Amino acid sequence: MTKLERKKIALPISSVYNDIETHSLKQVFIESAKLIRAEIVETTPSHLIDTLNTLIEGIYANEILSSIQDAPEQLENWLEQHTTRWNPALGNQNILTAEQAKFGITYCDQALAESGTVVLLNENNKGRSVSLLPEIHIVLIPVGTIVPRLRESMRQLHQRIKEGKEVPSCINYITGPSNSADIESYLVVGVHGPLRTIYVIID
Amino acid sequence: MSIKIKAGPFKKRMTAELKNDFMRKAVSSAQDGLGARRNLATDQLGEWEKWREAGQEIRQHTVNNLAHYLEQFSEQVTKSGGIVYFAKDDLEATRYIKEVVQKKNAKKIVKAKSMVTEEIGLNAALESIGCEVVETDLGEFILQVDDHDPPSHIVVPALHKKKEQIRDVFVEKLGYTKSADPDELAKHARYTLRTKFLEADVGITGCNFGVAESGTICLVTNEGNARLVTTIPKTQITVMGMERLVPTFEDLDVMISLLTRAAVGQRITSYVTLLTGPKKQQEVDGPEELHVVIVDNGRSKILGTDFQEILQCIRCGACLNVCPVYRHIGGHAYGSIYPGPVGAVLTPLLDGYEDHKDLPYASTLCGACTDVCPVKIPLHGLLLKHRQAIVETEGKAPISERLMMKAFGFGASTNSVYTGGSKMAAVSLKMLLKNKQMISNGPGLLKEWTNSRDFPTPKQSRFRDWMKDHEGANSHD
Amino acid sequence: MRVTLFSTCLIDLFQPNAGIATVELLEKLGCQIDYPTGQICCGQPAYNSGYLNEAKPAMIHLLETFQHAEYIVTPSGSCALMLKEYAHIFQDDSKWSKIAKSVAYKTYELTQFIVHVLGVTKIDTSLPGTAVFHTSCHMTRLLGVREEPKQLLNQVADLIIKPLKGSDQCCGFGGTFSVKMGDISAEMVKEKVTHIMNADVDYLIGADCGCLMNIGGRLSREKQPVEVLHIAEVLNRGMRG
Repeated sequence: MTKLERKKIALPISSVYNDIETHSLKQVFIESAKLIRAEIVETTPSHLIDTLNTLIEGIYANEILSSIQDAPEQLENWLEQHTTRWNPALGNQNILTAEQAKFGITYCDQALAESGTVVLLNENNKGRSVSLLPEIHIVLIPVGTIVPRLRESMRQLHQRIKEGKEVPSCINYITGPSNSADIESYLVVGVHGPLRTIYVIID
Repeated sequence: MSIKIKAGPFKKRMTAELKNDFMRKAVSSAQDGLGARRNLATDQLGEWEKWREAGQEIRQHTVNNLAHYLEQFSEQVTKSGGIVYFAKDDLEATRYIKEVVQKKNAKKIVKAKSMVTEEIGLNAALESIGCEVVETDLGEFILQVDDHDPPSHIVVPALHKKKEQIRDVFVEKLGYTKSADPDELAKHARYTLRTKFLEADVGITGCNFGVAESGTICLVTNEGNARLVTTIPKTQITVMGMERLVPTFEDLDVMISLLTRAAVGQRITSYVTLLTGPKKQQEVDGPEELHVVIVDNGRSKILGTDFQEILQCIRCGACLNVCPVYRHIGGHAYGSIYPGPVGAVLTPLLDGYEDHKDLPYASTLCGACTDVCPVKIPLHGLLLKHRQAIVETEGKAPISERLMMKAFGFGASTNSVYTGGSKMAAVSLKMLLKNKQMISNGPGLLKEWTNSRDFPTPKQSRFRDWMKDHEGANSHD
Repeated sequence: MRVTLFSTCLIDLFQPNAGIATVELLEKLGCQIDYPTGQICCGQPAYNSGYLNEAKPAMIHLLETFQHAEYIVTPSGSCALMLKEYAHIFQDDSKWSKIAKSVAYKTYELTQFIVHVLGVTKIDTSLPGTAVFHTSCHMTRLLGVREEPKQLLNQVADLIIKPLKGSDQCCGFGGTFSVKMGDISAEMVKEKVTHIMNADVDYLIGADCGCLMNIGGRLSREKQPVEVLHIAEVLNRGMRG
């Protein structure tokens, strides 16, 4: 397909690029995440398991669904013990599990500092439902995944297309819990998607 | 439903809506709130004018080369495993969708919010073949349950509804037993709709943006219903207005950044979902089959005309949120699913002037819409173009007005007529004087003014008469 | 400096005081006023209603009248805007396109002229009291004249300009809109007057007579004790010659 001529327009910048000159990406991300009603927990790789145990509040494995693959050993063991894993071999049963689950635990592939957004590329069979059907979505955010804003993320997708590669069938940019202002402009938090979103930032 | 939502003359609808105190209060309040949030978000982003210019370039370029990008988009959708159908009009679109649904023996359908599906009357078409079609967007769900009350805003469709009204409808139709508290009402909607999502055979969505380079469908939402509609049912049908494309993901970055801020003052919505093709073979959730129905329904007729720029619209609703006329008359008065400035431009183009020739006149051409549009559509300029078309080519202006304007043209270009006319006006209107300075009960058209305002008397001695006698000035022919 | 005045039909017929103040003000600022008596109307009422062909005779008459002016100054934002539109309206007209472009180029709204051509930002005058300034839509959004009136009013001694809520909302005049859609227009002007009364001021000042007639007409109907003044009248008041 031929590429068409386009008018050269100066790409506008965003104030986030100023912000990250004086603050770390993590700091900017946390400030943005506070605004969109995500619950923020900071932890370290060595304290991650303790953090997760606190978060799941004694809920049993059949009500905790996880789509995490290739986790480091400690986390992998914890997931095996305390969660139900998204297992493609079980087909639609996974969806029913997700519907019954109180928690859905995922990693994010990227996080956007400007808006407090986590990016989930649902490739390699990670299951769209895990971050959607359970009441509470816990997302593990390694600090190295944080980029300034949508631009960096979209640029990567564009790059993949340019190189003739595929993009995942579903990519979700998730920013806090679901909400709606459809009733008298009053903000209801927690509509069809998760009622709570917990960001676990691992630094 | 189709584009038209209420029959009858504009004046009648407008008069009725002006009396709707709740609606007016809800709309003003929403305008003020959304406006403040929008300004906060655009200030925070910085360089908003540059963003608008970038958005204008992207959408203008796309519309100027629409055939090219539609071809690229549909090739990519097909390559990723989706099925593309080009629908010339609403009938072709609904016929195709009915066929897909029937082939699947599908009866239960869940829908995410989509203006274009309302435009083509999709719900009624599917219900006519025995399907249950459930609107899952909270606002649209409320309207559907309330006997298909039409939307009054393109982003917040149930803006005109009181929470007590919603509670009453939920009690009557959904076995609801709690209060009018919005949190509780929403919880009941979540609970009711969960079952519908899980049992649905087919999910139907609109499309905020189609990305041509990859055939990706981009959905910009807050509630999570669009994600559920595209995750659980085995068949997905996405309906897209043919003009809703952007060339690349980099362009998508700009468009999303503009849309969420201009519409509701958010840096980004809770969910931006990018869907490319149906699910991969080994994946568990997501649709097995994806149909993308690309709808023309009058859009291609707008290409190459003076009105082409309206196709740049990204349906953010910002123009509704600043329009001082919409503020007072609300969405239903426009008689179209597309109200406000964008609706006043688009509706006559898609549905003809016959029923909609008042809409371009429901404006003072104040330019607030043009100023706020994130893709710099000259909305008030297009309203003026409609007026010119209504007067000149369509010949639909009232005869009395034409004659008056002809007289104006004559009087405003011929000094003797102007002088005679203005002197006469001063004398004849004097008879209507309640007091020496103001007219409070005018004849004919003047009555429209004097119903609510006093009108100054034309002065016996005009400014130019003073000027003639003024020393030091050069008053000449 | 020689200035050709376009007084506008509204001022001519209904608000001559604003015209008189404009002349006296410009003369005090050192201008010599040229007034071609052939001038009538810029054609807005017909043009904005979609009657291009009916408006053209009025516009051509105006082009004929003002074609030799050096500076065209008008105390009306919307009329200045209309004259600037002539460049676009007549662009394909072999007879008038050049003149239309020239007239558009040399047309100024009054405060625009005072600040940018005369280079004056402080006028030695006073008006004790409080006021709100009505920013008309055509003048601000479309003509781009936002700061100039405020600059001049802020320098008027003893005058306090109070902020006006909803100042960027249209007052509902819109030319023929005020009678074609009288009911909607009425609601818009009522809201405008509510904001003005809430500001609790002595004066309403504006730079567009259409708006002032509209808002003034509602103030009068409600019997509100707010005096309506054109900015020329404020700047000219008490100013020494």
